[in-house]
Amino acid sequence: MYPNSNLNRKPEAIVEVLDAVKCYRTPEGGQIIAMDHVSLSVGQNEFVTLLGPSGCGKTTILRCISGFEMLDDGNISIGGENMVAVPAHKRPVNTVFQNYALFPHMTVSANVGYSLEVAGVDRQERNRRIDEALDLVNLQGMHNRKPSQLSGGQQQRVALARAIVSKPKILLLDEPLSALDRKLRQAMQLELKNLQHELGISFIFVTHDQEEALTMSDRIVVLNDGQVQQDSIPSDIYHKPVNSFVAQFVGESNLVRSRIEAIQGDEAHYLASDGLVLVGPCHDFSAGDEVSVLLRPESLEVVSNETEIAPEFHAIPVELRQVVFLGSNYHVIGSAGQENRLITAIVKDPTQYDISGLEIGKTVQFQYRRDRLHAMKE
Amino acid sequence: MRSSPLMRRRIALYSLLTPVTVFLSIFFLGPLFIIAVFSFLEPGLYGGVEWVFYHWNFGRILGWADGIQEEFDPVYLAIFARSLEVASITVVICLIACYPVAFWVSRLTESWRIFFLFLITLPFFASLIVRLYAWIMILTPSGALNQILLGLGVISEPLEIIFTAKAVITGMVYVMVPFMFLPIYASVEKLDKSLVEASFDLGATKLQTFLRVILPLTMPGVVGGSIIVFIPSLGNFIVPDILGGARVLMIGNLVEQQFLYARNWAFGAALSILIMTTVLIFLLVYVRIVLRNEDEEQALTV
Repeated sequence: MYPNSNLNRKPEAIVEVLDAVKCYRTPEGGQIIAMDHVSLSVGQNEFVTLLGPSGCGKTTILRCISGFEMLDDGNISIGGENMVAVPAHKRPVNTVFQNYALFPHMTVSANVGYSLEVAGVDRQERNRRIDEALDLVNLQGMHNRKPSQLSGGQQQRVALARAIVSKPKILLLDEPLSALDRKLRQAMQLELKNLQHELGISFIFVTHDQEEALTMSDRIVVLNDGQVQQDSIPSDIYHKPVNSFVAQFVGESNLVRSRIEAIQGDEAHYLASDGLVLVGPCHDFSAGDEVSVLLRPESLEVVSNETEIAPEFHAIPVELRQVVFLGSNYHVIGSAGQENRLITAIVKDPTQYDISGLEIGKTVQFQYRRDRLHAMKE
Repeated sequence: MRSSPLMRRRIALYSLLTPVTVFLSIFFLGPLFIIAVFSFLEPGLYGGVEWVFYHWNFGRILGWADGIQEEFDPVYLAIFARSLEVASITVVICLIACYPVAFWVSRLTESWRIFFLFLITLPFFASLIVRLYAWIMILTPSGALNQILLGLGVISEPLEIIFTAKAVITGMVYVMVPFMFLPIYASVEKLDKSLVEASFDLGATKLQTFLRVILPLTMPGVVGGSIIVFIPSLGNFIVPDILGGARVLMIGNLVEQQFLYARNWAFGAALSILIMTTVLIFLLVYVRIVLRNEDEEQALTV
């Protein structure tokens, strides 16, 4: 979005994508713009996640960096060197593929040592580095197995070892955890993060799983329709999304389309079309602006109708619609305003509030600290 | 007693296998046995055999005939060697012709792929004999090939192709190409494209990727196609008959002559047994080499 500001922020950027454009022709003769003037940079030893729904162009960016796709326009440089004309096998990047792409006719050792072998590293050195890489991913003693004899998690580790054995400057990971079950995926997330620290190389990680992105990344680039929506640290992505797409894609959200009625100091009154009034901070807007207002469900607290609202809080009167048990917490859904707008609150600790008192149809208040409200332009 | 599901499945399996087993025992193993027995019997005067043990049939071919009962003639071994040569050349040419085309076809869109696969099977719709006579028309000194080459000025006088080994190999390749193409295509189609990308990603050049990833993974198709082409090529007698004239004799023609014209069933049987033994040895060696290569691949990196 702002190539120059990116340059200023990351002068030691190791990967630099500038104004990259990539279109595909569809069989029907149409055109799909997979990358629409995308700019991003990745710093030394940084863990950057490309996050977006399927078809948003995140995998295309990865394939352009690895050299499997050619840009229609724009520029990619790695370590300060222009990569546009450099073929895939000469780029200092390695990829962990979504389906692992392990060579089925080779043993684990042969798979891991492949990049060293084709580079002509002698056998002794090769074996040493294969052992080292397999140690790093906790796969000792599997040297002579074939990929088909390994579990999904083990194959994942082999793919990882194969990609890091020749010490690339950047590791590209294309949804590598999507085929694993939930428990294993969470364990691997932490391992990947640790591995990245140990190796001291940059990771570019592609996922459509926002939780995964928030857990692992130093920085997240949210993409939609081939365009960068937001490029920030995870907490900013979550708490200060730039638009309603990011707000909705990352985490749970209550979004209210409103107009700014009045501004008092640095607070504004937001009025929705159904008459719902919200109060919260207002930074870059002026009265009359149309905005989207975000309230995260965990910012909302369920209180009874008679409760006095403290001055730093604002309350929304709602009628209870549904209480959903989700293990560690409850989702409490209420409807507000004349048009029965549904608003979700999360009750984290049921002991703090008597959940059995929440009868459907009862009128309660959802209160939130005013500074937890976030207003966005779109 | 009620039968268990496992038992029932066994019974179903055996009852499906029985017809084909019975058929093959009667119509394949039976004749094979008769030929093996005949090859060690004395030839009858007017065809048929005398029931006397007689090893001179093999002596005549392999060299221990004493000149009294039968005479050793090296021409049989020469014909045998030529047949092996023609069959091997046919395999190699089919391989070279089919391998790149299989890749090209596998990259086409679905409807084009189906169209090309249909083209490959198209020759089967016409009789083999007719198609081979068409090749005579093409290859004779006044035929289409020579006319075109003469017209283009590539050659100044007609090439002598017809009724030479070249014509036989041309016809053999023509007949065998579909049998080579289909197994290779099947293995190429199965090749996971991301493996090729992974190889490039790990720094391998195109040649390295081909030798270490693409070729080993399509090897089953290459091996299968080679076997399917080699065996019928070795014993084929129709192609040399039509395109080789009387001048190019292959082992298949020899067998045909012994049974149909010379009426020496015993000698024909001995020749057949020799073909079969050779094919078996070739196959064993071939499979052994292919398997050993795979083992070496593993051993290399341990």
